[in-house]
Amino acid sequence: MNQDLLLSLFGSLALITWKQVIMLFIGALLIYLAIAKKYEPTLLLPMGFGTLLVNLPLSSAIGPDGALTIFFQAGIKTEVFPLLIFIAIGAMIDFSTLFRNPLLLLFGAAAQFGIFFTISLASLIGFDLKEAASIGIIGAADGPTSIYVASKFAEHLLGPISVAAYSYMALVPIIQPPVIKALTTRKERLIRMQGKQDPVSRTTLILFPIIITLIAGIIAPSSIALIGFLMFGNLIRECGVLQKLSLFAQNELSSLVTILLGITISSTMTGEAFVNLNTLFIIGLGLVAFVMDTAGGVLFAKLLNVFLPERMKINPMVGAAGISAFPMSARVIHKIGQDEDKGNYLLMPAVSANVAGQIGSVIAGGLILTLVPYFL
Amino acid sequence: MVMDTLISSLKIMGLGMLGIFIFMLLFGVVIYALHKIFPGTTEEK
Repeated sequence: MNQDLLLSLFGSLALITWKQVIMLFIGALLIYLAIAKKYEPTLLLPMGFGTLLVNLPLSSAIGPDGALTIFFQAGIKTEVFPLLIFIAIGAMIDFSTLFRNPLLLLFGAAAQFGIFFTISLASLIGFDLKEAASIGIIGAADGPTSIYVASKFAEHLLGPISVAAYSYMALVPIIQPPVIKALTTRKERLIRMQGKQDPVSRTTLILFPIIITLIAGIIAPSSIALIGFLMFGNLIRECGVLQKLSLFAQNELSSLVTILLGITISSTMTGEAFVNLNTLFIIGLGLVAFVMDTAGGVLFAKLLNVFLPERMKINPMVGAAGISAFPMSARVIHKIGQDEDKGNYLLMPAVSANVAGQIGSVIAGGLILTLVPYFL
Repeated sequence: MVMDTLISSLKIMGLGMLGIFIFMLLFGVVIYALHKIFPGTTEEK
């Protein structure tokens, strides 16, 4: 009797596979990185815990009636969770820094190069076009955009893509400096840039998200949900009559949806789906994407400097801040600048480039959603 | 098969990078125009 009871209670242990054991370790590692190293804890912690939930044998968290599967169907398949996150991100972005130096918008384009380079590399390795596009978008350095595109094109790769995207975003201070130093001379790193402090009118800040949404919607209708929700969040911030909603979007909405997003994505992180060679390729390609983003931004700045007059020269390091990892990348650039010359304050231009990167990554996501179906 | 996918991805790279730059240039024009039409005041700063 006691033996039967023990078997019915702990019998599931006999069903555990080696892949599930590996995933339990990966789940524990994600929790460790989130807590001990503070690597994107808002997402990696729920993902890590969710990984434990879905890799226990006979887990009731997944399956037709499993809570995480239901969350996945309702929140990721319908794109509701990523879009809600975009409202939160939009409410956090201050575009006024960009208004003071619109030239830096171009770095938000140049530093997306890693996305497209990685799509080609992934195609070369043997991934199909939809999978390659989903992997390349890791280079957006923007978790929600990666999740949004991957959920449309390669749902089965959502787990490793999310892990790679968020891990590398947390590792920007380690990834970017060596690439920047390899591509710039000390003389270039010492270039000082003038920060502008022109006031920006409220009318401008209110009209900007509306006009951008209209332009994006007309040119690339597939990107409208992505850009529209981002700009809607920004309009809530700038309109001046919804302060409570703006703060709610920036704090509670962001936290709540991030928790749901993280733990829901983990439903794709089962041993069977995650422990394979593709995951290793995705992790490796994600790193390539971040490196090439950085290189794209720096090299484009160097190219611009060929044509710019001496007083308008751009510190090429600022180009590397054209990725979406805000404000981490801007801080990294400022710190490298300060290490070279204590009197060189690059924070303001770097923040402008970083904000441009936030727009650029979403535009890149929208363009990929528009372009890929034409080549299938 | 791989070559076809690679060629498609290279086309996507070209069109994608061109598209982002066009978008950013358009946004730059919008920013410049808005800034000119509705200049900020010191109070707003």
